[in-house]
Amino acid sequence: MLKQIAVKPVVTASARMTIADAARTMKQKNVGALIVVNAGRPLGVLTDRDIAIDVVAAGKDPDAVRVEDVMRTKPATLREDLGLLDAARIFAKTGVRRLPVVDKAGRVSGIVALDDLMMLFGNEMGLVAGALAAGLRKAS
Amino acid sequence: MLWKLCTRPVVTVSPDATAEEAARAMRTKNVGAVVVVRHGRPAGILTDRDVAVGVVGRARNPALVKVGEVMRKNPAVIQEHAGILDAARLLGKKGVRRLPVVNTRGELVGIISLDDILVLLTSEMGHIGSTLSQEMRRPTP
Repeated sequence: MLKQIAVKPVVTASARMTIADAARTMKQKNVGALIVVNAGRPLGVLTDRDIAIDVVAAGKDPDAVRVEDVMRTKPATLREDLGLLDAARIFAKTGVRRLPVVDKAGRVSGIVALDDLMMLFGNEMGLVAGALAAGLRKAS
Repeated sequence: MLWKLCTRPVVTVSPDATAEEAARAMRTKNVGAVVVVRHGRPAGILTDRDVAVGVVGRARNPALVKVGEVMRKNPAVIQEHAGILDAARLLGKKGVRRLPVVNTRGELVGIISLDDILVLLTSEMGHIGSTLSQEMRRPTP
């Protein structure tokens, strides 16, 4: 279940925060994305790439632009009781690299990155390969 | 071989470009990183994250900061004749997500990322998977 692998605590931001403050938070917390919340519910996602592409490349002032002007709104969410394969399918549909994880009440409880899933599946593949190799050794 | 697989042409900027100019190149070319080139050779890498965190996150002005000040200097590179598994191993050893690809003279010819390699390897895994499932469907003699 996602609940066990979702990165927690998730780093959140408010919609009214400036981009300069959001970038500082990403730096301090060493994360690539902030989940924008209102009363615990996900309003949007802001990534480091959004800051580079939609603020800096656009020649806008990071002190004058607010998170709500740049964030991706109404993000798809993953229920924390979902399985990993379901999560992988939702990622494939959305084409984004990170999704907020929510509890039954719809409140943000974590974040999952595509990289987290890739790592888990990669490790599982390694175990399967190990089992196959052991079988081959026995057979010969 | 990597020169067949890597992204060419790669997006480059000069170390004297500003962070804002580099971000604009990332935007128009739709890439997450640019290779910083001096005399045709890779001198550094600058990513979208470096712009967000290394410039904006430090309250520096992207229109004034030079790429040469914030890029990751002397990046690990890989030869164009190396294989995909060599690239995967080097990425793991260096703990980076992208490698500039160079020719024997050390000149930049492309870039390869962890994502490129994952896509290639997993699509191969998919082929193996469908071969196995065809075999299982065949009636046993």
